[in-house]
This record gives sequence, C-alpha cells and structure tokens, in this order.
Amino acid sequence: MATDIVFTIEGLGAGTTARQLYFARGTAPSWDTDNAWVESCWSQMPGEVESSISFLDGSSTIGGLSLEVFSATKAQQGQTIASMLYNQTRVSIATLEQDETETDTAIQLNSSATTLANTHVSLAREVIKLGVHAGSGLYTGCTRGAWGTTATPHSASDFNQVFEAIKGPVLRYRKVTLYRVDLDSATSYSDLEQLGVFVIYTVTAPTPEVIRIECDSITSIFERGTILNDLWRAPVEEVTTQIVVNGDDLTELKISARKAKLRSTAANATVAIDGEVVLKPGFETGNLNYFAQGINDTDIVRTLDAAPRLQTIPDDPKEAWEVFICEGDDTDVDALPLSANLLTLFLQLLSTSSHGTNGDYDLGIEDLGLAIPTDLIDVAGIELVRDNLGTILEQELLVLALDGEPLEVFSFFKEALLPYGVVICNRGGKVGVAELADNDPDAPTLLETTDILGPASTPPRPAPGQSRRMDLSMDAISVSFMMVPGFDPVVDTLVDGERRRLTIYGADTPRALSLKFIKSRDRVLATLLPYLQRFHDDIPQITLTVLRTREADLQLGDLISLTHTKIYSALNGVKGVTGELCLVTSRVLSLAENTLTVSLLDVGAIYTNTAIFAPSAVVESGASGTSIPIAEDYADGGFQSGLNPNYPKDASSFIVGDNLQHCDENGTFIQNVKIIAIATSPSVITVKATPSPLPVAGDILRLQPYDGNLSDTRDRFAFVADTNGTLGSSSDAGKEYSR
Amino acid sequence: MTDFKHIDSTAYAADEPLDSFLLRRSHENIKAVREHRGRLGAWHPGTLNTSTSAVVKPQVSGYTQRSLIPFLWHLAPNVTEIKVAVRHRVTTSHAVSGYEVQLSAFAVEVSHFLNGDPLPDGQTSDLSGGASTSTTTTLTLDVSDLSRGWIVVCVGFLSGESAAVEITKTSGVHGPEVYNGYTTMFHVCDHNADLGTTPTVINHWGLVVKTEAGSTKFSDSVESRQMLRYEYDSSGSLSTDLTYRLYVYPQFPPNREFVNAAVTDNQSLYYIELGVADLEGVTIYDSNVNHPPVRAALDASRPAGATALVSRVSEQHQVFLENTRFHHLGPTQNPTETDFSTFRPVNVISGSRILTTSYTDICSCVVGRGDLLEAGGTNYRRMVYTLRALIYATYPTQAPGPPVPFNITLQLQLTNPDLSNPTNQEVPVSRWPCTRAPNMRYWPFATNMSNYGNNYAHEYDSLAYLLGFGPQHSMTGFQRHTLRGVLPEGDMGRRNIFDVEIQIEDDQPLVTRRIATLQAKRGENTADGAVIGIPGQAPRLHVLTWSVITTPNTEEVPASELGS
Repeated sequence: MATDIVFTIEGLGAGTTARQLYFARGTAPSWDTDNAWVESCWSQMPGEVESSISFLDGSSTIGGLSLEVFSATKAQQGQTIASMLYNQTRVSIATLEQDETETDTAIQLNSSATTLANTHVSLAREVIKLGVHAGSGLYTGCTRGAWGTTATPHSASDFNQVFEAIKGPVLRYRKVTLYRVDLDSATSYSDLEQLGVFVIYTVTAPTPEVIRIECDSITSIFERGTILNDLWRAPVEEVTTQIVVNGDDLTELKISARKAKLRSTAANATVAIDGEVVLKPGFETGNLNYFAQGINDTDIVRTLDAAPRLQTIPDDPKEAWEVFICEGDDTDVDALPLSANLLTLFLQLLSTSSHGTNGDYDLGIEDLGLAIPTDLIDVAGIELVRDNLGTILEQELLVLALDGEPLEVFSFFKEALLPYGVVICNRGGKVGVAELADNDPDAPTLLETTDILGPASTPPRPAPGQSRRMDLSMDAISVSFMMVPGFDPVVDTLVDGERRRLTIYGADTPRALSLKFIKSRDRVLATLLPYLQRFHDDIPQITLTVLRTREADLQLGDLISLTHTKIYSALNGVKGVTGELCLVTSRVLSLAENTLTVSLLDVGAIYTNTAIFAPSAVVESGASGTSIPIAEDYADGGFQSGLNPNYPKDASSFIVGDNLQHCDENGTFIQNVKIIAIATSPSVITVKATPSPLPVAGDILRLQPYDGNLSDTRDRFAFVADTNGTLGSSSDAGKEYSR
Repeated sequence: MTDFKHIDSTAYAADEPLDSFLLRRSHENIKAVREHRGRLGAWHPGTLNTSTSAVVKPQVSGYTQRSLIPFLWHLAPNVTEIKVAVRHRVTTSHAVSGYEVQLSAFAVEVSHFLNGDPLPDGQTSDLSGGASTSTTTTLTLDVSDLSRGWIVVCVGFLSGESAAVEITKTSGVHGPEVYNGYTTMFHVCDHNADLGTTPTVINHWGLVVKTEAGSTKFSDSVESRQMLRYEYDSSGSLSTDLTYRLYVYPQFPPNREFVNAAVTDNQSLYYIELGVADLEGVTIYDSNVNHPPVRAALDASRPAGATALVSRVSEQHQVFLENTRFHHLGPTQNPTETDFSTFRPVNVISGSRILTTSYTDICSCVVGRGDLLEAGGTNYRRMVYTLRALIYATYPTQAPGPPVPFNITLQLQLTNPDLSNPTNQEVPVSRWPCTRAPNMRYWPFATNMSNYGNNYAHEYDSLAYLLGFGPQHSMTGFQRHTLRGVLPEGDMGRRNIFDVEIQIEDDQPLVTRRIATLQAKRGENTADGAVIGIPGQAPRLHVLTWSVITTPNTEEVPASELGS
C-alpha cells in the first residue's frame, strides 16, 4: 500500500511525547518510533468531501465525513479503540488546586496525587503532560496543550476534576484531522500531508464491532451557535416622587437589576428599552444591583440617530436589557466597544471567550462570542479580505442584542456580508471568508497539460463542463438601510436599466439585500453598484477535475488563472482560454480517486484586464553610487503597510529591469533610472548608472509612465488613461479596473 | 499642518501609474485636511457708543444660575471633539472667595435643549477678577456621543458674589426704614435710600431680603432675585416712598400688597455685587476628527478596482460635502429694535422685531460660493444654504393668558450686495403660538401710582417678561438690563422656544457674494380671527440665536456648466 489515509483526533495520543494517535488502515511504518500508529483499525475509505459557496445568496455548504473504526483494535499502548472513543465514563484521578494560566508549566494538584509524573491528564478540553513531581501534588515542567489540544486557563474553583487522558476525553467538537501519507517515500511524521480538518459531533456504534465517528466542518458545527443568550435585563419602573418645593409629583423612569450579568462597566453600559431606543444611563452601583433613575431623553445614544429618524423613549416602557453598540475603530480590538468593521466584528464574535486568551480578538466577555479556538479560524485570510475592502465595511448603526434575542452569529454575518460580496466558508478546515474577487495577477496557474484531468487521462475523467447560468444574472436589488433603533429600515430598489431592457420575459424579482446598519444612501449606492455591475451578465461556470496535488491552491474563494484549449472564451465564444481568471466556488475532494473536482466562476469574463496598484518607494537615506537604500515600511515613510504577506515591502513588487522615475518628495520628475538588482533586509535598489543628482532621503522612486515600462509591467499594474481612454503613444486600450 | 504633503501635478498626469505613492499621499492629505482644517465659526458682539466712540461689549452675569448664550452648531461626521474659545475680560473684583465669574460650556442635542431635560454642567473654567486686558479661555467639549448635524453649544456665565450690603440711609443705619417692600416686578426703597442718584443705572446685583442689622437670616417669604436695573424717579407726581425701584428677574409671586405691607419692620434689602464678564467673542471649531487611517487597502499589489477605491472617493466627497462653511454663528449682534413708539439702538446680544403684514428684515449675513475654497474642476457646488434659528415669539397684551396663535410667514432671501437678484424661500407657519408678554404702557389701570407697574406680571411667562422688559411707566422703549440677550438657565426647556430651519438653493451661480436675510411677516388678524386690539401691537419675534451654513448637498453641476 503505497498511499494511506490516516486521521488524528484532538486529545487522543500516546506515549510520553506530545504525539497524537494516527488511526490507520495498515501497519505502522518503521519510523513510528513514538508508537503512535493505531494499526489496521479501519478499512473503508471515506467518501468524498464536498463544499461550495454562492455569492448570490451567501450560502455555503460542506459535506460531512463518516469514519468507521473497529472497536476492538488496540493502540500500541494496549488500550482499545472502544475504551478511547466510546467509554466516556471517566474517573477523576486528581483535582486542580490552584488557578493556571494557559502558559503555566507548574500544576498544583491535590496533595495525594503523587504518582502522576510523566503521564498525560486531561483538564477540561486540554491535555497536559505532567512533568516532574516536586512534592505535595505539585508538578513542574509540564507540557501544555498536548495531543493537538489548545492550552487554556483553568480555574481551581470552577470544574477542577483531572482525568487520565488516555482513557478517553470528551469528544464533542474535537478536531479530526485527515492526512495522506505515501508510505513508500515518507520517513518521518513530518511527511504526513494534511487533507482537511473536521469536527466530531457524534460517535455511534452501528454494530458492536464498529464505531462510527460522524464529523462535520467547523462552520457547520457552529452554524446554529448563538451568543447573547443571557443578557442583563431589568424591568423599567415608573417611580413617583414628590417635589418638596411646589408639591408636584414627578414621575421618573428607573431600571435596576442584579449586578452579575452586566458585561460592560457600569459607566459605559448601554441598554435598549423594548428594542425601541438605546440609552447610556450611567449606572450607579448599589450593594447588589446596578441601577439608574431619572432616565430621560438626554441618555439616548444620539450617534445611532440618522436625521430625521430620532430615537425616543417609548410611552409605556417595559423592559431594558444590555446591548452592545459596535462603534470601535479597531485601535483596540480586544476590548469594548465592539468594532464597527464587519469583519473585525466577525473575528471578535467568533473568538471571544470567557477567559480572554483566545487570540488577538478575544474580548474575554462571557456570552459575547462563540469561543471558537483561533486555530480553527482563518484569521489572516479574514484580515486580508478586510484590508481589501477597507472602510466600506464599517457599520454606523449596528447594535447587538437590540431585539433582546440571542444572536445566531453565522446567519447574521451571512446576511450582513453578502452585499460586500463576501461569503463565510470553510477554508482549509478553518472558518474563513471568500471574497467575490476578480483581480489577481498573481493567481496560481492551472494548466490543461499538467494539472487538469480529462477523457485522455488514466482512468478517463469527464471533459470540463461549461455552463452559462442565465438565472445567475441580476438586474435589480432591493436594499434596506438606515435602521435606527425604533424604526423599520428604509427600503429602496436599485435597477440595472440596461439589463432590464434585455429581459423580454419580464423583470427579475429584485434580490433583497440588507445594509440595515448604514445611515446614508450614498454609502449604500457605493457598496451595491459594484455588486450589481458584477452580476450584470451571467458569469459562466466551469467544472474541472484536477490532480489533488493542487488542493492547496484551490480553496473556496481562491482565484486561479486557467489555461485550457477546450473551454470557450466567454467574451467571443472562441474555443480556448489562456490565463482566464476563475474563482473557486465549489470543490469535491475524492479521497478514493485522489482527485479534486472544482466549479469555477469565470470572473475573468467580466473584465478583460486585471491590474493592481503599482509600487513606489521612499528613499531612506542618501544614495551612494548606484545603490539606493529604500525605506521599507509605512512607519519608516515607505508606502507598504507590511500587512500583505506576499508583498510586505516597498520594493517587493518591483522587478529587475523595471524602468523607474526618480522624483523628489512631491513627485516632481528628476531623472530615469533602471533597476539591475534588488536586495531586501535592508532594502536596496541598485540601478544601472550612477544617478545625478544622487537620490536623497525622502525622494520617491516610482514606475515610469506607461510607455517607459516593460510589457509585463504594463499589463500587471494600473495606469491612468488619457482623455481618449487610451494608454501611451501606442494608444493601447485603457483598462477597466474591477476589484 | 505638518503632515500635508504637496503632490506635484506631474505625478498624476495621463499615462502615469496608479501607484501607492499617489494613493497614500492623497489619502494622507485628505486625512490631514479633515483633522486639521475642521469647521470654524466665530461670533463677535459689540457696538460703538455713538457719543464716545468707545466700543461697548456686552456685560454678562448670572446670579445663582447660569446665564446662557446658545449657539447652533452643525456637527460634521466623525468630529469627536470641539473647542469653544471665549474671549473675555473680567474687570470686576467683587467675589468674596472662589471665582469672579465661572465660565462654562456644554453641547447638547437641539431637542434636549428645547424640551426641558436638565442641562449638563459641561466644562467649566474659574475666571479671576481685576483683569486689565482681555484673555481667551478655551473649553474642550466631547461631542462623540451626539448625533451628527445640528446641536446646541451653550456658553454659560455664573457670577461670584460679594458679601451682602444692606441698603440704608446715608448714615449707614435704618435699613428697614428705607426698604418699602415689593410688587411682582420690583423692590422699592424710599428717597432716603443710599443708592446714588443716577437716574437709570444697570448694576449687576443680586437682591436679598434679610432681617435687620447684621443678621444673616434670609427672609423666608421673599426669595433672592437678580436685579435687572434700578430706576431713580423723583417725579413730583410720585410719592417719595417710591423713589427707588429695583426691577428683578424673575417676577415675584402674586398677591403682595404694594409698598411695605409684605415686609416686616425689621427687614432690610441687601444687594450682592456680582462678578461681570465683558464678552468679546466666541469661536467654536472642530478640534478632533476621526478619519480612517491609511490601511493596507492602498498597498502596492492590492487590486486596483472599484471597491478598493470606493472608500477613497467617498472620503473625498465627505470632506467636500460635509466640511462646509459657517457663514454666521450666534445671536444677532446689537440689532436695532423697534418698540411701540420708536426705533432705537439697544446694546444687547440678541434683538427682536415686531412684525407687520409685509416682510420685515430680522437678521442677515453674507454668504457666497466659498470662492476662496472652491477649486476649478470639481463637479459639486456649494449653492445650498441652511439657516437654523431658535426663535421665541411674544405678543404684548394687557391681560395674561394662553399663547395667541398667529399665522406667520418666514422668508430666507438671498440677494446681491446691491439687493438685486433676490431668491426667496418662504416658510409659512400657521398658528404660531405667541407667548403673551406684559404690556405696561397700555395697562388699563396704570393711571395712578397705586397701580404702578403691572400687578399681573407674575402671570406671564418669565421669559416673555424678560425679553419684553420695558419698565418705564410711559413705555417709551425697551430697556437695557443685566440679562438682556442671555438666557437664564432656569427659563430653558419649557418648549416655548421654536427651532426653525430654512434651506435655500441659490439660482445665481455666477455671483460670488450674496446676502442672506431672514424676514418675517404676519397675517392681518390672529389665527383665531381676532382683531389685534392694541394699536401698534403685534407678534414679536426674538431670534435668540441663528446660524447659516453651506449645506451638505450632492447636487451636481449641470453638464452645461462643466469644463470651465
């Protein structure tokens, strides 16, 4: 058996190392020195793993995975699979006596637990390898987060029972990682190739001999997850007092309730009354209660008004509950207020846990987040999409818990992100987002000859499928916006008039999109026009089967550059496309066939050109001879923020041979120079001839006007066309920039 | 503004790359403009004394409660902080301890100001007295919690107090002898009182009644009041018991029998000298603006597409459209008021006009296209102006009662400086409730001194009483007094001040400078059809404060006017 598929389960491991158990079909390889292989414990190859996204309705699907293992099989350490997977009855072997942070390596157990040195124990969802016993139940040199688990803080006053890890942990929501290993060539554990990450949701025993592990994707598992289930609530009372001076009765509103559940500080807490108005009353603290009396219009949070829609306190107020205004500007993402930026907020609500140590976006507030471990969230990918979209994602009127109901995080963001062309999906086993992007000159290539399978392959595969889904075009959007608390949103309809004229059988029903938390119509238009424009024409779809080795490049939402002689060009119907930009919208990973079938959206059909911002650089210090030192990042005066992993430096996207302009700090041309070498760390651009005058600190190096550039550079970057819409003396067509 | 970078015109010509240099620098520049060149509005009161040519500045004080001057400010998006710079000179040195004048400023929603919720303390600054030169005190207000758009910014003055001084005979004794009691409008002292003999004097005084000779016990039945002015009247037709009349605000409660019946023999009148600020100007400006930072979206190798640039373009529009000009801020300075019989200049902070059946000018300012700020090539214009004003309407009558409704038409008119090319925007207001103000002149029984003043003054709205204050028996004109133009804090929020907004689009795009004038006229009769009973009496509009701005408006230039 040259190739095998093995899987690991978070929290199940063996031996004194942190090695997880590998559940395998065959026997252990010779390099299994940690005795981690669970040999011949299953035989049936899992089926296909299927996932897809849709930018029209924001939906995202991913198929589950069933793994059947033999219950009587034993690990090399002697315990049976049944005992590990099915025996969830555990006997406590010790108790935790002192609180631990997620980095503490000294663990204080009860004083009678003296014989556990070098064993693995499980504490909540974490597996810890205890170190040396230093006396009285204190273990030092412990290894935290063993066997694929995540180190978390533990409280001695909370659930403090310690169990023997090898006897089987709580399996619910444990990660299952699927690997492929080529036993002919592999020589160590690091040669395992990860195929996907799933999460266990149930373990069954269809027959006494077989245990079935049902897995699903992380997005599916948490799809119905809710937060804000337990809000601070208080009745609104009318308190009547008599004014001493003139004897009139004065009726005031008062809210008061026990302290425990208020998540914000008393001074900053905001509450909604009956979901009609948001107030910041500035609570007083009594012994047991937070309370505020004399509530009136001055307590209304006016930043949530959008003239002429002004909030007012209802005439007959009944109940107040805590709400969370999303108004943060991302300078401090792990503290209230929550961010106004949708994707930052998404990261905050996914990762926020009660302990505050789950990554950079964890606010540490109970019931305000799903507490999904950050290693299951594609943080970097979400940040990248956030940066691409910029400030357009900021919501002005977003208040969480305004309706007082629990919030389904995924369905909320599914609706909120759709108008921006962003869909939540599974990316490499993590919760991520896919963007309806159509511009990436760096997209990996997918070639007919080397990557794509077809009728001529062995065994033969179907030829590429092509379709133009007429129903995927859109000519009208009904959008709701300006939802001030206490008001229904304004509903408006945008119509693509040109497209409507073409539709002889009548108009589509406008697709409803929600930008409820945007105040102004201008911003709504700015957001939706690109979306409407993108679906002006039906975008062709292509289905291909490719070698699984390209799996890493073909995650949902990835752009690839496709070359194939049998695929019709969407623009002129001629067979054969070269470098056509396509977006992956569905993928089926066939574990048995060892192939990947993908559906691609031919986004290259929307625009004939793609382009990106051209580079430029700031001279950091005076040049010496032909060497010009470059300021590398934005803080230094450079132009690159460092947040783009592929191009972190000013000089990153220059290439040798580029013809540059040397300008003063205002962009006034001084002279032309040509790059002959680029060095990084520190960045230095070496030019062909010694410039005169020599560049000095603060000067700018930028690409020459269109004509002066290499043809590659002309195609790659965006240039400003002249008033005739053409570029350069050769009158090349101006480019239309998409995204 | 050190972070504003010059970008040479060669850097963005045709065929140039759309590069990170251009994008980042222009974003930085927008950010710098937004953060450092916010809105600014200034108000400078003052007038010339026509006999001495001295510049006369309003003098303001507040006894036991703040005297407020409201300003309508328009908050642009992302402005989180404004500064209120008050230019003043506090020459008096009366306060026994603490501040001579406590300056304060706060910002609230317009609705908050009008509907009677308690006004916040805001930011305060204690000013000491005895100043020989003017100084500027700047107070910083956090406005991040207020809705964008119109808000009210108030500047408040609270006076420090001297020790109470008993009003006595010249000999320094016999306080109870000279104090004769009070009516609803004033305290009265007899001709022996030692208050000087100036016929008509404005003194910033607090008035209290105490039991005789050194006792610190305030009267239980006569509350302390701020004095508006006092009159010395030695007219032979009057009893000498009525020689000094010290008018107070607010009015006293009813049913005080005239002269010495309501005070006991051992009570004296005391005055408390108040700290006074000479007010020279108020400037309000944006001091902190949140503009999105430059982020990775503009990095080289980011997609050069529509969505990536939409936020940048909208930022530029935002700066142009929302960072608009203030053409006028604050109350009308020193207007000429018309009263029942004549026109006279009155040195006050805000004035009023009596309405007729044809348009009467109320206040005006210069507006224009913003010629210095408008660069060629832009495809948005600043041609729409908005006037926002807080207006109080009164109707002088002989008898107190509910407000009298009048049909009133407001008009905002734009004209050339030579008054040609008028453009008008009319706003008819039906049944504007005009609060009754006491009319002393035509008081039907004010024919002898036993009925001097208006014995029903207490039944009028105190703000109407204050703004229509004309104490003289003959009622020959409105009079200056210590609270002329400022609004006592206790009189705010009774929903009797109206908030008016008028927007006008100029149809004269080629004229650089225009005059915006607020005008008003009334219907023939009251809205109930009643005839105006008193000759010359009619609704009176008091424009307490008003502002004019160029309005955020996305109106584009017609294609025919582009390209110049």
